[in-house]
Amino acid sequence: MGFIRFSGVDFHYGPAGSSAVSILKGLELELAQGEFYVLLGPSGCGKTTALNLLAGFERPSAGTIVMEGHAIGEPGMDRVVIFQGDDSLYPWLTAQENVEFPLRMTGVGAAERRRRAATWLSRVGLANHGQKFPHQLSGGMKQRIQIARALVCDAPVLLMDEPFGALDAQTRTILQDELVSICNGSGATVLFITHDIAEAIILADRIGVMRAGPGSAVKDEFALDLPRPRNRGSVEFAAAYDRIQRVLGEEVRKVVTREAAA
Amino acid sequence: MSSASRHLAWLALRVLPFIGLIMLWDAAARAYDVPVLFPTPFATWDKAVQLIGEGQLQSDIAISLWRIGVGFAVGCVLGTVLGLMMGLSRPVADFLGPFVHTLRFIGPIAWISAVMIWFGLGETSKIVLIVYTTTFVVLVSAMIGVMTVHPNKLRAARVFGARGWRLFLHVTLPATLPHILAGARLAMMNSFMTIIAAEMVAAREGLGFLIFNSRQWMEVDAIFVGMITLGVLGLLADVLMVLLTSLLFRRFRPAAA
Repeated sequence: MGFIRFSGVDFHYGPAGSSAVSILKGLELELAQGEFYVLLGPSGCGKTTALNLLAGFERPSAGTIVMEGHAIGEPGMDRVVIFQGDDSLYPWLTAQENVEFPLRMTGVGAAERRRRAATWLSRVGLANHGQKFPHQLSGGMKQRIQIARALVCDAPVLLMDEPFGALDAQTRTILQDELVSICNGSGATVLFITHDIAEAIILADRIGVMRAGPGSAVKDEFALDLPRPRNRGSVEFAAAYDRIQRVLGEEVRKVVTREAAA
Repeated sequence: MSSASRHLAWLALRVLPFIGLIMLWDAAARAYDVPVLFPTPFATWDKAVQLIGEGQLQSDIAISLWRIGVGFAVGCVLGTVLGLMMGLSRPVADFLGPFVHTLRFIGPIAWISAVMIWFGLGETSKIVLIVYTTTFVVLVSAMIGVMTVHPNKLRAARVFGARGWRLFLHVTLPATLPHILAGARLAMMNSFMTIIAAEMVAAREGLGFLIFNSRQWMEVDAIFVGMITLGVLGLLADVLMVLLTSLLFRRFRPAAA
């Protein structure tokens, strides 16, 4: 058990001691293979830091993160990241070339590259936009490029850092539903970061709610075994929302109170 | 508005101010007491025709543009290489930073005398000054370009396995190119300003020499010809650069960054 495992993970900026800014403290997290795990928490709680640690962008100050028995090292194609916003796209490349980029870096031949990128572009609904540059596309379409660019890698693990956070509510809903149908049966293990409870319930097998920082960790976990696709209007959805809101709301209130006092 | 009248408005907006300016110039020149010291547009035109007839204007243009061209090209390469190195490497930035950030405030004009003494009165000294004035503008642009590449662009590429040289070629360099091109465009303007100063102090030909030498003979009309030629050449150089950028570097145009 435990395809990916965070054990006693601390992360702080600056040297250890009283002046260090503690982001994570004693984080324990376990993801089963093929599981869609959503990490939910108030802003500034360190959920993105947890993702960055698993991606290999940062190293834990203490504790271990293990995947399939091996400690997490440098970033790599086995843990592909979908970033918040569109800054990770390459504006000098077309949508098609952006999706081909990972394949190019791994030395896949031009014809094969083109074919696989085109397949994923059409799967995310961008079949007719491959020759456009990112700045010619809407925010939602840019995130579709990112999704296609990540999935073309066939990675066993996908790390998504609030990928729909900057989108309008309608576009977000559509992309959430599409993500469910894309990920269903793909076998990929997903760590998805958000602060949107509804988004978490639509997507997750399990939801971990984090405490307000500093020194955050997972406070509570919820398993969701509702069948997919999930209905935002169902009684089960509302019940889950209510349960999670009670736990998360308490943490958000801590942040708000602290901000008001500061 | 019909398409014909829109074209007419477009034309009027660009041509009318120009005609107005010439009329204003003409009126001011006529109001001035000594015609020789403030020639009218028509007198200036006549002088230009005369200088072209003698072949002097063409040869001055050719020599000035040649100096700018060589110095600008060398300066762009030098500035790009140094700027990229400073942007990429902390130790290089720490080492070169104090020199760069001091030298770039010492304008090329301050260097003229020293450069003439060291490199003589020949072509080398003028080209050295153009190289100098170009290098720092391009250098600072390239350095800032590298330092402002969004971290997620680099992180994404690292996820896909790009490291070192490949990361530089596929991400850092293309992301920095719009900055370098913008820097080169500014540096072109600096080159035009510097060449005049350099040719005024020590040259026997070139537009700067034309302007400076004409002063000694009170030929204000020739000075005007030199100045207008500079403006027109600068404009053409700028248009050419924008055109080349959009032809060769279409995907890297600053708007797309």
